[in-house]
Amino acid sequence: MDFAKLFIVIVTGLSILAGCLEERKPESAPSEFSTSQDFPSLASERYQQSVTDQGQDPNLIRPRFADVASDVGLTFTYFNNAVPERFFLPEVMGGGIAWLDFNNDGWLDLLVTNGCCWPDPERTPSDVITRLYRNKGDGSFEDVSLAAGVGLKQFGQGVAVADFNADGFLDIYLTNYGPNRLFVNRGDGTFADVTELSGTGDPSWSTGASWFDADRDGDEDLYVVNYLDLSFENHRVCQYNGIAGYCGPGSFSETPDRLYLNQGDGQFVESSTALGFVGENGKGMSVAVVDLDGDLLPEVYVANDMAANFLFTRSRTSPDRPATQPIYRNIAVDGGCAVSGAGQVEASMGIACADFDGDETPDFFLTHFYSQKNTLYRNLGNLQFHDDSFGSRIAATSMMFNGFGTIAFDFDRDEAIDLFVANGHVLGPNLQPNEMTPQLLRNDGRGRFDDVSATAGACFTEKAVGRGVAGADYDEDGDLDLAVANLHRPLTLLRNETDTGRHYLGIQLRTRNRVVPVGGRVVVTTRGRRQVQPVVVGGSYLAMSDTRFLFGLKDAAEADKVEVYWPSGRVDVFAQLPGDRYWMILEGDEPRPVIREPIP
Amino acid sequence: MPDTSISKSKHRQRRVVIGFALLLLAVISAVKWLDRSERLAAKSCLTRNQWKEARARLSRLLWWHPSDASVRMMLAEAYARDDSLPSRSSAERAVALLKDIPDDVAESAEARIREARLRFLLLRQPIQAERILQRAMVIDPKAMDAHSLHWRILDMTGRSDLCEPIFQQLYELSPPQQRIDYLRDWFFSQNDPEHITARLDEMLGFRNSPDESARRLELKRLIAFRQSEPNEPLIHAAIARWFQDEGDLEQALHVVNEVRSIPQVMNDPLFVFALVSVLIESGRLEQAAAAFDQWPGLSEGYAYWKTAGLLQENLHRNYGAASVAYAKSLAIWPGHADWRCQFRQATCLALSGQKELADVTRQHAIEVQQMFRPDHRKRLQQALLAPHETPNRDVILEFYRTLRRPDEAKYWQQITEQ
Repeated sequence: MDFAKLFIVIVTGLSILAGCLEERKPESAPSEFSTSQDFPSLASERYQQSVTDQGQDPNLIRPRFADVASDVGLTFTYFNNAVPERFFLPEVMGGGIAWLDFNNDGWLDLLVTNGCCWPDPERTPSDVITRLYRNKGDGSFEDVSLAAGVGLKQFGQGVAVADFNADGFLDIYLTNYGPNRLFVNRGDGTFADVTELSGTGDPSWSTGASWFDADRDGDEDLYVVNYLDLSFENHRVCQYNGIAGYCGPGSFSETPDRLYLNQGDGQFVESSTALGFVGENGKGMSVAVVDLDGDLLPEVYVANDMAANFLFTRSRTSPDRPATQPIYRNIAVDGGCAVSGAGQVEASMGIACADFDGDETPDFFLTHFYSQKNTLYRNLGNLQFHDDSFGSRIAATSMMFNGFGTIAFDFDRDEAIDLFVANGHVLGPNLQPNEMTPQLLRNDGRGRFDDVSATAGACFTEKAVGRGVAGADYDEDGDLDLAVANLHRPLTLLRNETDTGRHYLGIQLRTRNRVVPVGGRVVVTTRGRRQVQPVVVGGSYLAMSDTRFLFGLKDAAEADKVEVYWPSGRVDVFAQLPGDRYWMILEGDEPRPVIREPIP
Repeated sequence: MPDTSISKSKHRQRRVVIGFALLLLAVISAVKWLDRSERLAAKSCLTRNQWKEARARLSRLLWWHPSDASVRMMLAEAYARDDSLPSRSSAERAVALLKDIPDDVAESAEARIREARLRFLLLRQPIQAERILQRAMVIDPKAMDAHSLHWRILDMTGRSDLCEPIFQQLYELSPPQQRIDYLRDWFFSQNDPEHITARLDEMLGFRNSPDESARRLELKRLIAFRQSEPNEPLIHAAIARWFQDEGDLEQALHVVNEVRSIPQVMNDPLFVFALVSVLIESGRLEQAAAAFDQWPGLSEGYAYWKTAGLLQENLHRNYGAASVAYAKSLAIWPGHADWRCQFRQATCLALSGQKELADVTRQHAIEVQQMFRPDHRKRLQQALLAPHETPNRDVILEFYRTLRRPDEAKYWQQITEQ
């Protein structure tokens, strides 16, 4: 018996040992995927690629930007009247920003809107006003707000600039939470408030606005984007996992946009319905006006917050079209640019419009909410768009950001249009993340983007609640600089100091009736390569950029050919236009060089 | 005189043999009686939750009968149900006992199910549990407990998409009065999984406070599963998809990258699906296509065709081919509810010149999308509480008819008209 038990114990022990050995297999050697394309450390690939390529690929230019706002006299912080625990939504939207040469001295000046005490603007501190900064031409700015007469107390949102009375001086339209304002430029450095006379004082909560000739009668009309029906009566505070914050657009109804038709005598008539600018559930944030199908007639794209976007195009004329039929119709759904490719409404704050993929048709880039991707709509022609956010890598660069203002520009003059995005959340300081870094996205020339922010300078590592962005070559050195409006922090002026060693071509278009030639486009050909930039009015978020064109020419000292397609149907063609300067092109005339020494 | 001594000797021998036989019989009877008594005593201990004593008795029995499946199962129960023992080690002991029960005995299916349950609930090894359940279902295809547990495991590991065959099986096998429970389970599993997973998360010990969000619990749970089964690509895939759904593509990429060294990781279609999906969303389309080319097994199924469609649309820009692939995907559950994919199909139809079909498809996508709005989902949840009331039944039927799911609509109609 003992012998049997011993036998059993030995056998049992051996079995256990064998089982342990069986369970603890030696680790197999790591096996390669049976593909020629193994994937290396994917998590850091993007940054590795951008950083590595910066150092190793001589053709990739390292971006350099520096915040010079305080150095040049732009010391402005938007007053948003945030009252603790109130969470009144206009507080978190930010203010408008616009570049304009208001005094026609050839230097771009800067206008920024400001908030005020609400609901009692009279309690606003006296130094909290809309600000106009004159560019002195020596790299600095001078505050001329009070002298100019635009220093009003209003809860400022956006700004749109145009010469609506064709007197040669740019006028200003300010959108507000509260009645909007129209200021006519007297031509002597001052402005007059003509809101009442003009009939453009929409009391709704307005955000973006764009001037363009909607009825093709030769003067500037005004499209005003309206946001929400919000007042203190229906205002409320929302909870996010038990933490109080701002309610989003879903908590309020929309207000319809406006289209003010210029009557030519200083008065405007609201004609949105009559012209067909009608869309459902429009909670508008931004508007961009641009010709998308090459017929020289502008389309109007409206970005709506958590609602389908609008794309208005002119109905094609036909002999059978009744006179009462609206001129414009909304085709965003059919066009594939109302919602994301997966049918989801998106937050849609800022718009940038440019030919990102080099196929000579303008595409759209929209900024969206945190943990939503930004969207790049590729223009396929015939007013058809495809959500190319995955293929363009826009989705990958944006999920952890809340985007607002955005600018499309060629920062490195490699003939591909890049993107800048200002980021910042909207739920309030009690919820994280709130402040975010801006982004610089480099286009590889095929419409694919890499985030190169890490190499672009210290200003890209500083977090802020970024809002509007307006781009301009304020220092006349042939590259675009960026003015960024922030909440709770001073305005930022990112001067572009990128040392490209490359050439540029600057173009300024002018029509005889002073109407911005939106609907037109400029085509620059260099070494057989064509670059097409359409005339775009509006875009970004609550902002207005320099209307001049900047084309990167790489190592070509001149453009072989420049073609200007005017909305009138005229095409002007110029050969061998030298680079590294701006050219002013008046419709039908030869280009004239704009001689101005850049600020060192 | 010699004849008498020989017969006496034979007579004595006969008595010895008979006596020995009787003794042997007595011993055997005694042993059998003891054995039976011991089993009864052990069962009685189990009934009265006297685990330690039960283990003592059953251990002795097992020493005598090492291949007795019922003794093993009882001993395993005595370990698993004893709360005074550390749960992990007792579960491991129980599993060790159960796994030695061969598949060709009467108790084998039940043994597999118990082992799977222990692995899942106590050892947090859902994938191993699933493999064991699959053995149980081969042994006894009608073992409802096995199917039910398998369903739960799929729900808890981010694979609710695969539950339809199980639901159908359970529905067919269950008695009529139980079918409504499975119909409800099916709805919640597919449309409101927190309803199902909340209870299990609590049982598994993941919920530390009542305020914990379902999303955080899901991540906690998946990470715990990964700790227990670090070499299972499925769990890594589920975690990657969690981060992807949260918009954190960097982290999702990191997770799929971590499993490079696991042998045969690309043999798992769900892992390949997760990998390709993350690569597509992060713009690495060529890499996604290369990974997709290695799709293991049959080139079919909702996930396969959806991925094929995404690549055709975003990489090859062949919108016609994309719409065909999407159509195949959408014909397989959960394609009927995948309104995002339906929108993609509509876009691709439009871009390939099929405008009328695109319009119809888009309209249907909008209708399905409406079914998943928060307010509508609330109405459905309320309706499921009292489905026999006509308005509630109509809400439920409308849902499944909009999704073009006639089977579910028929089932609900039958149930609620009884």
